[in-house]
Amino acid sequence: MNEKMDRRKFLKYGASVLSLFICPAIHDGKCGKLHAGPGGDYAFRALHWQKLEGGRVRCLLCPNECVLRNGDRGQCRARENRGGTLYSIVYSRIAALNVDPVEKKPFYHFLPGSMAMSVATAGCNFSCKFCQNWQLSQSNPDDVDSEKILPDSLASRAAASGSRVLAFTYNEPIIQAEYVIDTSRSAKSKGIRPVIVSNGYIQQKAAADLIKNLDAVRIDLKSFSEKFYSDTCSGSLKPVLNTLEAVYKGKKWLEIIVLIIPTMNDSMQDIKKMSRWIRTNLSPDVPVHFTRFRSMYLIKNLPPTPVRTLELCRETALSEGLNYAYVGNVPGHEFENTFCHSCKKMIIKRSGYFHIENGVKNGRCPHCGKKIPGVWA
Amino acid sequence: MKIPEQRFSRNEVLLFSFYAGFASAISQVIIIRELLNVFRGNELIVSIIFFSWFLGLFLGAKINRGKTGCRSASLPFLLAVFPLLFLSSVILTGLIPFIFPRMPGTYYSLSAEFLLAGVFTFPVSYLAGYLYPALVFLISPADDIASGGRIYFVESAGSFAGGLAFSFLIINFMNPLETGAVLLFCPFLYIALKSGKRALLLLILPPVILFLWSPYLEKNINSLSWNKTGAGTLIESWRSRYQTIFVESQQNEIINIYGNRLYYYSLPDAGDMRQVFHLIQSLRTKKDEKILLLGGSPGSLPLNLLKTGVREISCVELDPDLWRISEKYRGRFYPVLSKSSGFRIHYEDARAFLSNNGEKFDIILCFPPHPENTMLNRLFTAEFYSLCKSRLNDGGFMLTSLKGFANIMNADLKNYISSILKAYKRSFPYTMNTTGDTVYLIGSADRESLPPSPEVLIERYAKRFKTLDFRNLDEGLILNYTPDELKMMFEKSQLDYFQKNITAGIHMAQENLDLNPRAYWNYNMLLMEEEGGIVYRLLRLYYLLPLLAAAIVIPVFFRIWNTYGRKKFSVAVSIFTVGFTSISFMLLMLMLYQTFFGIMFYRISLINALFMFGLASGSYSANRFRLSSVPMFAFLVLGLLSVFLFLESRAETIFWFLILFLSTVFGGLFASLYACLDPEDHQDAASFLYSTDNLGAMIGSILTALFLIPHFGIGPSIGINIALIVSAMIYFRISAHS
Ligand code: SF4
Repeated sequence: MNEKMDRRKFLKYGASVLSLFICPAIHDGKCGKLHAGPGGDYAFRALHWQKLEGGRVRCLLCPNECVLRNGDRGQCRARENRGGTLYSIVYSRIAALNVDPVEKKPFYHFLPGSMAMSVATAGCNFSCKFCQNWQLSQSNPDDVDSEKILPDSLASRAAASGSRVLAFTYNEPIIQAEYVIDTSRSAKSKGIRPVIVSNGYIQQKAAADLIKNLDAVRIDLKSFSEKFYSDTCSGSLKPVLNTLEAVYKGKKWLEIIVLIIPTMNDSMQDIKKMSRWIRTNLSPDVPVHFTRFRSMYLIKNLPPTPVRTLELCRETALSEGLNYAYVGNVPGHEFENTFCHSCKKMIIKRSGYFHIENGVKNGRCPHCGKKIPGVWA
Repeated sequence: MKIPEQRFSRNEVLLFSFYAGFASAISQVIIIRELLNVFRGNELIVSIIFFSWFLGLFLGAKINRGKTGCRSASLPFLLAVFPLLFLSSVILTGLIPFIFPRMPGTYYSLSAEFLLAGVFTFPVSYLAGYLYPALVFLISPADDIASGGRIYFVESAGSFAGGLAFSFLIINFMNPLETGAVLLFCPFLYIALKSGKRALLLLILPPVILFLWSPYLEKNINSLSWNKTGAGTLIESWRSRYQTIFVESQQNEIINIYGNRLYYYSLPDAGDMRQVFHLIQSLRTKKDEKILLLGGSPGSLPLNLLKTGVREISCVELDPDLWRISEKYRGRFYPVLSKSSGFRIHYEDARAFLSNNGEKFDIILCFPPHPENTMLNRLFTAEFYSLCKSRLNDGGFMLTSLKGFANIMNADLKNYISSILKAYKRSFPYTMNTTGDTVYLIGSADRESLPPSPEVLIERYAKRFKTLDFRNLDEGLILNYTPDELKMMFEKSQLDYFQKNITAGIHMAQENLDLNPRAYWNYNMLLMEEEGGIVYRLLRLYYLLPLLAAAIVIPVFFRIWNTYGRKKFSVAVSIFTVGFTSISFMLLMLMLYQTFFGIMFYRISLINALFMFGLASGSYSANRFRLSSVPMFAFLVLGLLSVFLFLESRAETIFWFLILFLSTVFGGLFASLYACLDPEDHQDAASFLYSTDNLGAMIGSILTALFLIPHFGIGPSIGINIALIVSAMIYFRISAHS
């Protein structure tokens, strides 16, 4: 090696060889062509998008409005531009399937005590730093073990499992709207009630199409602050409020959950504003669950929410005129139970999500006979 | 302001070298501890700090190679810059959460931690590297070819003294700012005395003021950064031997306790203990049990267990200060635990307690934090579970917890849980597990001790529950409780998923062992995956790091060959290998120490000190007797030292001796290789050797932590290092002869 090699040449060759190994490794797989290959099995022509110049498309399903070149994937990782046409790549691509009590979603006024077949694909249009299901929501569908279950087949499996409810949950159902709609239709035909557990981040037209096929919707209202939505979830609040109104106006059963995270969204001012908005724009009868945060995903070094904070949230909501405010994720807590808004007596007793003593008779309070808002049969 | 131009006497140069070694050893340890206070405390970060440290030394030595480098007049000032840089690093490290606020409860991304650790370590190490060639130059007229080895020896001796001073004095009596003030005082005093100007005596005032003001300053730095990222208000912080304890008040009602800013638990905690309390109750088959609780406890669990007929609970907690502080606040909510009858506290490492104490128990409870480092990993290994089993009475069971899952597990999480379950099952073939975000493993060596299925467990508890007297218990544990709540811990579809994805393939899993810490690595991969950063993607492709290392090293050696020829090339290869293996051994020793003896952060400096002592002895012997006599001298030193070392256990003695032996060999090799260069320009030779040594150390620190240990485990990594150093020496011998 005494013969001197030009150093520049040496470095140039070295760098090219190295880049062959490094580039695929550091490519993040989001919005890129590298991952266009797999997923073909599950591709399904998407709803809600428009063609743009140069083979690009704009997705109109959620307010992110991703503009995608050929081969690109959306921010949710679940939709892909293939040759100028937008495809859902998670259609029937089931990554998780469990049978849970409906209270675990949580729905407290929707068929209490019944079981829900719960399914998920992968991907999400948010990136919340406290996501419990980040392994699904923040993954590329190609990287998650999945099973192909077509809509009819899923509906049949739900029926066979004895579930009365089919819940699209864990990851964001909106990004798989095509599959949710088709499966919901099939489920309804078999007497199963389709519901979604969602962040509500969807465009209004798409929301109308989706909601009409469902029986109930549970929405995560992450906070009542635009800043929280943009800093912690990469989303925004306004479209979520629009969806809440759309669900309510669409006469579908609606419950709201607010995960209270210490120091981040526990301001009583915000809870007050939120409760007032719900009462004014929706109804005082919409149940709101203030649930306890425990360290999760990227927020893993915070103590759990003090129970007293949750109780204060509930008191604030009640004082703003809401009828059904709950303390969640604190098994055994008195305010996990349902109290009639009229006579204030306990009508449903809970201890965790497996123990339900339901006193509601024909949708009415067993004590005063008042109609209790909800879906009871 | 300048000291009159002069050459320093040989003794003065040696004094400077000693001070440089002394100050750099203390600075390195304190910066590591301070960074671990802000970042996650694991070997990955330690390796990055080492990397950055050696990068600084490498560049410092590399840059200061010309004859116009730092010379006599400015040398004392440069020595004073040392503590100034150190103080800035310490203060800025404490202020990181204030300067770069992060969302409460989150960590910085690993990439950011790597970067910041590098930034805060670099200035001090750069200066240390910069000084070495200059010191060699100053002493070279007197010592000639031994000058490189001489400075290396004196610096190493200074580092040894610094390490000892930290281990036995500083850690107990001084905070980092006070230490910095003392380090600053020395060169200022020297400058003032040497200059002969009285006015310059004023220089000693700033360190004195800083020394007096430091407790107040430290408290304010802590509060400032805490209030940016904490969930409540900081009410107390305390530097214990093992960690910095922070106490936070939330809404004036709840007390949260943290160690090194890592959330431990809240007081009161009855609600949080509800599930596990009833799980234990459901598993009990008799009364009057003796329970061993490994790890400190918030309070309500042992107190309430004692109220339900348990005869005795022994709690093992390593840090007496943590216990003392917890007791102080626990008193607001519960009766003082230490005074409860039937309760005993042992201040000892959990594994040491299990090994040294012959007592047996009916139930062992262990709820360790996640295995982010090998010190915690040792509470999840097959060896640990085997120790636990040996302390269980017949028919007893062990209950432990680990990170669980919500609905699905990715590959890293599956690997993580499988590696622990496999280790657990080896001692406890009869095992049940719960599901959820926390998975509890319940294991016994006897089939009859556990119910045959979760359904039977819940059914039995539902029957027994009616007969139990829970009247005196904390409300949070029993309010509205029904045994149906246990079903939340044993969800059918989640259990099926666990069975299919973990239990069924357990024979294929890599078991978590002391010397092959799979859970530690898998957990860290999981953390990195959560962050989704570039580091994770790079580490996924295991061949990339060695490739990157080769891409850095090959051009350097290519240039050495072209510029200096074969002889220097062979010296460079050897010294690079010495740098690589010495730091690799150091990291492996740290991991071994953590694995066998527990928390090592208060011991880092002692390990460092012994390492430096070995280097000093090795280089000293090589300066006198040359390469061939180094191993002999190493053994001699070990023999002599064995008389002086008062040590806690035999195993620990072997550990210390191993460090001494290895470092003596490395020190000897360094000095001998310097002599082999037979330099005409000493500053250039010192720069060449020192920078190549540190390049090896940089690569060694990264590859050991991120490649060797994860892929081969600790034992084979030691073997690889031995093979490397032996090959390099053989190559050197052959090239020297030809
Ligand atoms: S659904 Fe997905 S692709 Fe469509 S706009 Fe939203 S994030 Fe983008």
